Amino acid sequence: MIATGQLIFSVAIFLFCFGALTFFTKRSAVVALMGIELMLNGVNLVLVQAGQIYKNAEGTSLVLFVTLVAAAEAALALSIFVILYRKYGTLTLENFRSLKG
Amino acid sequence: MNQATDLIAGAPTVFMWVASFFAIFFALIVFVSSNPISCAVALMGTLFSTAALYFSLGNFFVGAIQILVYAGAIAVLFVFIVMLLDLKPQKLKNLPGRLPHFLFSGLVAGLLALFLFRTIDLVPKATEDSSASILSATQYAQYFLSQYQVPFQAAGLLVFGAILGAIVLARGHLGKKEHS
Amino acid sequence: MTDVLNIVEAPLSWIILLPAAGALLNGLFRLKSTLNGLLATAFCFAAFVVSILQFLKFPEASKLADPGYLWFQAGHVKAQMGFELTPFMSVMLLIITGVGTLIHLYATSYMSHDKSQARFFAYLNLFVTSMLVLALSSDLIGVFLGWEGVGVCSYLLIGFWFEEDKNARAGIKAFMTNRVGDLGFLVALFVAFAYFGTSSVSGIMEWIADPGRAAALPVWVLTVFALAIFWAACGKSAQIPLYIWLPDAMAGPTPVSALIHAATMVTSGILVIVRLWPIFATQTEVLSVIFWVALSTALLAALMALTQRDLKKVLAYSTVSQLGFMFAALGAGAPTAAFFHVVTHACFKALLFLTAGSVIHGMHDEKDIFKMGGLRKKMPWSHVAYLVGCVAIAGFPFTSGFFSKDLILTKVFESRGVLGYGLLLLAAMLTSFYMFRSYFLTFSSTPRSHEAEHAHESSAMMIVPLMILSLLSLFVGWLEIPHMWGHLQYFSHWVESSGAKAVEGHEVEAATEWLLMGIATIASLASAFFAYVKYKKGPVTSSENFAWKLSFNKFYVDEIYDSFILKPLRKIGTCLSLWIDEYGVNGTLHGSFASYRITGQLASIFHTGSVQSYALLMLLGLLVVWGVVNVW
Repeated sequence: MIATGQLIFSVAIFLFCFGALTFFTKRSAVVALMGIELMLNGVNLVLVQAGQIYKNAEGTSLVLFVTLVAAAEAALALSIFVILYRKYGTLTLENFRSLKG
Repeated sequence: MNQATDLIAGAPTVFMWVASFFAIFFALIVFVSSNPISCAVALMGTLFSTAALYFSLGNFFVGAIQILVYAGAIAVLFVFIVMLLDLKPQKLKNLPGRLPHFLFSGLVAGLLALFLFRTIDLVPKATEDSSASILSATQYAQYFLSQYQVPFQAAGLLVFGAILGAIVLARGHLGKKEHS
Repeated sequence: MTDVLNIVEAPLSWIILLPAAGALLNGLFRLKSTLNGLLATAFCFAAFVVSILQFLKFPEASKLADPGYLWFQAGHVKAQMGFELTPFMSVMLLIITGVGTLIHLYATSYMSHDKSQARFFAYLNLFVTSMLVLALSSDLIGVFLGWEGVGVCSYLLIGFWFEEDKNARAGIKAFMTNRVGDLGFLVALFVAFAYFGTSSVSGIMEWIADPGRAAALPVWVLTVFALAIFWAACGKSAQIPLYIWLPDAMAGPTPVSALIHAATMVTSGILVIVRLWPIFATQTEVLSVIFWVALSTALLAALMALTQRDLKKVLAYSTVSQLGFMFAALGAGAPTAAFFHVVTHACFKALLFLTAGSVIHGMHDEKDIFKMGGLRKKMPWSHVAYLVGCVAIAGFPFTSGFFSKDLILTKVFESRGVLGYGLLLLAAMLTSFYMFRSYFLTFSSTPRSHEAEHAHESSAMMIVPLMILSLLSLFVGWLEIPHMWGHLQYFSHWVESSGAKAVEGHEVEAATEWLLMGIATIASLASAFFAYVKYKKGPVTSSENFAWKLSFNKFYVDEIYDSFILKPLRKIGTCLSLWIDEYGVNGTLHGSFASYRITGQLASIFHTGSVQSYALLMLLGLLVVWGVVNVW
């Protein structure tokens, strides 16, 4: 059977990969951002588990920072999305191609 | 805490299995759903499941923070935005055109998963007491004001910057007519 | 006498530096009237004086040498610019500087109305310098330097009046043909460095003398060396197939023709072969090649000279033919005979050219002998000079040409038998015939044109050299008389003491020699008489048949070269320039530009503007790096 650590890590990997997939494939910007949150979650999980394995406080401390950054980032990103929606009427990522070329 | 010790090296409990299952299940829903609100709610579900996982690991503080900040603030913010902007479900239009993109993303993500899974075996298995990593609030405070002083201050600056940014964005420099 | 010599201890380099200084001064300063010419003559004369002083040091010294300085050294390739004087070369120096001075003096008057005298005399002195470098250098690289130098000066002087296209082209033709020959010299140099380890002449001779080393060489090395040198000599000394530049070279001023294309440059091939004679002496096949090529050249050129109307062209073909005689002597294994003829030919050919110049001058630049006539009354001194020259070249008894040509014919008979002798004798008869044809057409009967009516004799500065050369043409021959007449064999002594021993042939007895001498004399006298009979009354145009056409058009050799060699070369050049320049270089440039552009275009495929795809590619990149690191 598998150990706890292996299970937790597997879950974390799944979370991260699904988050990545969500970010790559969704048309709506908001949903893509959700993918980012999923990825960050996966990372948090890894950090906690690794902290427990290596028996030091670094992992769990870092988790707090990651959570903090995620919160700040989500807030600002969503504000920007609101403004974008107001200006362009759509949040479909296909329309935002000004970096092309 | 001794329970936690057994749990690291030992087999996962049923609780852990259930929590894991739900975490992955909700993540899948986020990926698959075409309705933004479904995605947002599913995201919340993932966050709760992850918190459950933290609890099962014995790290109650992190789990609590998870629920408070992630599930309670970020996910709510998502739901709020979806509803504010009234985002409609997005049909998968021109699927054939996007198929290469889907395949490629799947490929890359799959490759990533492959690499990552192979590293699990590299991680050593813990056998003793892991209480050192489970911190209480007091211990956190001690750490943040001594060892992790610099990251703590930097994080403070970061939040400060975020607040400023939020204010700037809220004032709406992009369009004067919003400001009334 | 030795005290005088000790007081004036002139090192060998002075001989070269004096004309060089003359060239420099003439090149820098354009002086009034004929001062440039006099300056050049003075420097040449000074070199002549030093040459005499060096000559007088023999026979006490067997060889004069001056180590000079090291020009460059790369590995064992060493170019030591030193000087080395053997007896025969010191005689040659006397000819170069002595006849050179006379020609300079003549040219001072001849070119007195030209607008670029300074340039002319600078070139002329530069030529003398190069020729002296060629003659004096102890190292083959130095000889090559002089070799190229005379080639360049020849080009500069032939094309002296380059405003006329024909003259410029003649200069280029001379230089190009020379260049083809120079390839041979380079090959010889390579062989010298590769197999003998040195390019110094004495070094090579020492190396060859060691029997062990010579036996260890591959068989072909010496043959290739000798053939390569002979090819270079063909270019410089106008043998088949590289003689074509010499007739065209008559586009230059007459003093140039006299100095360069009669007395000095064209003999440089023979000089080099005589210097390297120990190698040639062993290569019997090469000597055969040399002999038959030379014989063909002598005959062919003589045939071409029979019908020419331009006085200088007659003399040009005559020069080619006489050079053929010299090489025939070499091919017969007799370097003494060859060198003897070099010296006598220098005297009478220079005389003939200078007289021709005087005639042309007096005829106001008319060169066609059909338009001349009766000049013996209008230009008496030139008449006498030309007659002496003709008599010498035809080999009338006791002239210098008599002794030298006779020696050659005897040696050829000894080594190549009746066939070789007979053909060469034929060439000698033709020589006598066409020379006297030109003499009678120019000087006999009555004037046939306006210019001939009003021809005037030339100035004293031109006549004096003619007279000196006439005396030389008559009496130089006495320095090498046949054995059966006595013991005056200075040339044999000079040449043999310089290391060039004749190839052992079967000596003819005295009776045979008398017979050969008699036959040759009668033949040349008869030819002269035949020319007198045919041409005493003027040109004969009735016999312009096919044979005449062949001769007059120089056997169409130039045309053949043009269509079989030059045209294909030009075509190849155009094609190459098209492929290499247009398609190759331009194509490569445009291709490289195109490659950059295409790379950019390919890269921009990834610039979709979509953040998601950017992130995707970033992750992919990360995975690739991770994978590479882990796999390694």
